[in-house]
Amino acid sequence: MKVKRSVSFYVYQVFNTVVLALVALSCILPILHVFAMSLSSSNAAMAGRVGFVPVEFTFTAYEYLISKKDFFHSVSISLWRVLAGTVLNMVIIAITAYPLSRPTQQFRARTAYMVYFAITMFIGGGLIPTYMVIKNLHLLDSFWVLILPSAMSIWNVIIMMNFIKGLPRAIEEAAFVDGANHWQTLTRVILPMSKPSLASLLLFSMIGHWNAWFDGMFYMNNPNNYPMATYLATQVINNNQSMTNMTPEQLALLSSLSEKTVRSAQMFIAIIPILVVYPFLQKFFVKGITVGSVKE
Amino acid sequence: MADVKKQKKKRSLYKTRELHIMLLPAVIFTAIFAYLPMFGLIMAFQDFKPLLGFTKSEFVGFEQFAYIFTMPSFRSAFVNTFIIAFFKIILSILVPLILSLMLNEVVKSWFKRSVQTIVFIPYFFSWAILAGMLLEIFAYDGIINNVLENLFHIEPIAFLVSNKYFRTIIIASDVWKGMGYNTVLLLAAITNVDAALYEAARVDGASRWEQVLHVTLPSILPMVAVLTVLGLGGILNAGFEQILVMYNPTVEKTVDILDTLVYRLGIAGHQYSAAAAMGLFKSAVSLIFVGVSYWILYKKSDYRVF
Amino acid sequence: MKKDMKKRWFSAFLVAIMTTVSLAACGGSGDTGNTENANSSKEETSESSAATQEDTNTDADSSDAAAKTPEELLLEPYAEPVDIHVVLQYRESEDPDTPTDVTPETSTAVKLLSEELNINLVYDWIVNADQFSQKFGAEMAAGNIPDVVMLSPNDFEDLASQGGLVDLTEAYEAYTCDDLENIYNFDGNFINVGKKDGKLYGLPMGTDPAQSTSQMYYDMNQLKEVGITSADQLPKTIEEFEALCDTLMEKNGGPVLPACKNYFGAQLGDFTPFFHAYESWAGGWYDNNGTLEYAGINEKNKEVLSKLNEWYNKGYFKKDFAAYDIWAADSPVVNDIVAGKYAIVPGSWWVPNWPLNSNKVEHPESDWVVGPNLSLDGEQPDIMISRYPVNNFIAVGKDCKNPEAVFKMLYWSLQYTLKNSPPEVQNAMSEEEKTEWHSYVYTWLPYRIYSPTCLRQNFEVINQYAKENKTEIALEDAPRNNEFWGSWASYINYAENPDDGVAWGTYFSRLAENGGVDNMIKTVETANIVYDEVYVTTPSMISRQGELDKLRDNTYISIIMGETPIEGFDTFVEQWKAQGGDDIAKEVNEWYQNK
Repeated sequence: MKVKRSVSFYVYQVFNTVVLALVALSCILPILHVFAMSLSSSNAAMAGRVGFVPVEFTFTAYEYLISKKDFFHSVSISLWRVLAGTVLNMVIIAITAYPLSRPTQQFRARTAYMVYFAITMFIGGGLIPTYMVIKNLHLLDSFWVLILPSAMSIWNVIIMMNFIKGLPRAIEEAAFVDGANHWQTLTRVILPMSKPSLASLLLFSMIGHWNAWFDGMFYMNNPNNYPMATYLATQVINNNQSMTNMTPEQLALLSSLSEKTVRSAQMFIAIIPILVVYPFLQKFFVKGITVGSVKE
Repeated sequence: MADVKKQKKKRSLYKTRELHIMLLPAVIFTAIFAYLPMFGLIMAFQDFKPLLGFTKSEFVGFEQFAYIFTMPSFRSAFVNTFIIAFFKIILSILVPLILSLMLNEVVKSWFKRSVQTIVFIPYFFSWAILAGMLLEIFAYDGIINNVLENLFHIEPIAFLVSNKYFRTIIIASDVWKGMGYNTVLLLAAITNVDAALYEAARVDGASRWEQVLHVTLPSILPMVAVLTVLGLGGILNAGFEQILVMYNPTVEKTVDILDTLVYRLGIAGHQYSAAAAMGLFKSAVSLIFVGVSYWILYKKSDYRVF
Repeated sequence: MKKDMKKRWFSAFLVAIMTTVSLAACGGSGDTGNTENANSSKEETSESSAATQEDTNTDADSSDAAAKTPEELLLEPYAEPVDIHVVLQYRESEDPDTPTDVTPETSTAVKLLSEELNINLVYDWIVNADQFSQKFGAEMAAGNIPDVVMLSPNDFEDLASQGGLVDLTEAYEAYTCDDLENIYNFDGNFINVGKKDGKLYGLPMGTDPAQSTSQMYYDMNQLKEVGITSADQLPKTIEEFEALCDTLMEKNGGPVLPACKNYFGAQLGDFTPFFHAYESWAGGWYDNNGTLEYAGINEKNKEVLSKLNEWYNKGYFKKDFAAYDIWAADSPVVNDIVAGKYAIVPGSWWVPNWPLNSNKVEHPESDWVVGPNLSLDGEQPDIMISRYPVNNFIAVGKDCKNPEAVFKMLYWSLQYTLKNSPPEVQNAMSEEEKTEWHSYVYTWLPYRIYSPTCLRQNFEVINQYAKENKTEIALEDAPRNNEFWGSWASYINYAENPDDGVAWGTYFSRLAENGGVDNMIKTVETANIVYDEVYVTTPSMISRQGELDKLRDNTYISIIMGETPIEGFDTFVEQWKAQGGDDIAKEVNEWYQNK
């Protein structure tokens, strides 16, 4: 009995490992491809001769990037955006999810608030009206336009709220018994217990801010204010207009369609910060929290 | 002594002023950036001309809706949207669920951590870049066909122009790209499961599989439910960016969706109003879906997602 | 105790908020703060200048005194500064020598227009081309129309019909001159495209109509292996062409022709030359005894579609060609051409300029020539070209007080480029002058000064000088179009570096005998021409054209790939008519009769 079980366990572990390794492989190959591309000669890249190892190894693409000031300027804007935006997102998520996680009998207005927020998940005003609102608030071309409109994300709040609901009530009740108010309960009891959820929301918020490009493009009047994702989006030229009447201008554009190596280098640089931050946050998901250790 | 405590507890439990204050920032942000722009919805009932603005544009009632419903591609786009979104929603929860359960069983923590990091990578890439790679892989002379031909002696298939396979490729690649995201959420929920429950199960003689079935799954069910209901909210967003960069005329029958239709409308002739009408229609349908699923979940398991 | 805690918590919260705010403010201050200041100061100037604009105009009027030529008027600076608000579809400078710290606001044109004409170019907003339409719509809804703007035909139609544009008739009459006519009225008729109900709402920007012809390029180096050693052995008829493809198929296997989902009019790796060989066109409205008919539903198209289907089945094209967009960044079709996978490449006059030049860099041994235009009987088939090949319009927004400024700016730009382009002038420039020249970025201006006739003109002039063995040209002997000196430089460059693939590309496309432009000119001069008469956008076109084009493209490709039998063409024609085609035909013909 005992032996049998450990054999099946062993088989299962091997199977598990192999499947997960294959899945992981399917995910890592693209980035290897991009990385190899960024270090290959542009002709090799265009001729499709690059697989997962650089062909005709060269740093040209990176040298070209380093010579461009606007790229690094846009990276710095993105870093500030991630920092400020994420802090604001997290504060709002915490102070919004907590009241909404209270039972209705304890907080009667909860339902009204929830309806008020939930409606916005399905109905939006559209691009032009939003633009007019932002213009009238004098937010166009300002750093804050990257942060304020996305400050409140009802999706993330709902995820956090459900997480809090799942926490054992005994602990917070104990806090109340000890005389804590709501603010104290939130900061001293709920938040420390919500680390896995906070860490994942933090990660999503960071990635969201890091990758968001459309708002930068649409609300900034000057490319100098573009965050990195917007800057990169302007670099990927996809010319889908009809070329029946080619002007010299469009001709010149054509040759820029094939800077595959430079774009690969940009993409790779763009991913680095996330790859660096991610393992640190990951610690929180893996370790989880020691809810079971609460002893009364 | 005990009485005083009880009184205190009662007072603090029922004091909601602080709760209102906490909600204030979110209420304000939502009012400004979500509710204020909704005045623009009148556009759907107008023949909106930007230069005339909302006040002077002509009102046309439900004409825009009539127009979009009679568009020749509307029906197929509507059906395709449902099919694609449905499978994307189901699979984008099912696959990460399996992945996170498998990851949770992994003993070696370095392996667990690496896999977790790696499956997240595709999420960072934009569709513009991934589409190029996917088209290469599934090309008639691409890797997949090579493998099929050499290992299984199957005639090469023109996947990219096949109405039989292309929709599956769209769905599968989307699930693959996004699976890291939900895996992380679910894994967070799994690690959050009370260790005492496992212990109790072990004491009762439950096998590993039984523990997963009777402890892990029920414990993370709320998270799965939340993800499902939230996903249903996006039932009509079948993945515009992806399809725009991946589709081609031959497979339009099976992958053209409402959003690509609206995009063509907008590009073709600045039909702001028709696009707004389509948006409103989508909102209504999503609202129905979420409402129904919310209600079912509430009736069945007494669980409120919102 | 409780109160204390609350206070402490609150102050902690405050500190957190403050930190966020100040951090973010720091981050933004570098650019945001400055821009805001700059904006507000600009607004002030614009207000103050608005006050003085009245005077400016009267000054100009009184000093007119009827005696001045348009050229003199064009170069006359305003007495008071005039603000011209513009918007920009941004792209980086194509000139690799443009200093990296130059922005549209600090470019040479902005500086010199202000110094020499007293025109302040103010960039209200700058956005990527993809998002231009959306941003433009949103800004319009907010009540802002730029003073001078370059518009797509659709935007032009839209804006003119909403009363957003100024009538330029008066300014045009007072300020036009030969140099400018070459740009927006090259054939003495083109300017009419910008007119509606007799009012001139925009200056049309176009290209040579002959550019819609299509050439066949062959790599003689690869064709050697199948026994073709000289250009006169190249196929003239579809039958001969098919035989050549069969030989190539036998030798190397397929595919032997590049193909893409942009099957018609892509001008590279598409089926246009084969449609042309059958005197068929996928679109365009031609005059049939006074009635306009749509070429895309013509019964004749069945023949070419059947032939292409036959070729598809034989394996001439990739089985999944319809999945590839030739204009997508890093299109695999283009990559295959560069990699030398095809000995035959159909395409427009510019194809040697790109991507064949990249192929020549990778494979210096390749030897591209232009073959005869294909037909059924070996004679030049009829060709269809647009009567008015308009790409864009330069228009003036309704709030602009000085509509004539657009002419002054155009003229100034032309003078500036003509003056500074000749190689002698360039070589004599000081470092500072060079920086100024490279900081003139024409794509950052809200207009272009491209003359549609310049391709032919430069081809003729430079080949004439080449015959005379000239290596230098005096300024006054050069044609007055801004492309000339570039073409001249590519001629000199090729003479000096005949082995350089890039030099070959510009030379072979523009200047070589039997090159791209040469064959283009020969084609339009020998062929019977059918004109595509329609250059307006009618209401039904706005709402229906997109879906109708899609219906056509899907049907054509489906027939070529054998999914739909050729009889499906008749069903398509019925659908096309029913789904709005008939409405468009009616509107177009009404317009045509009353033109």
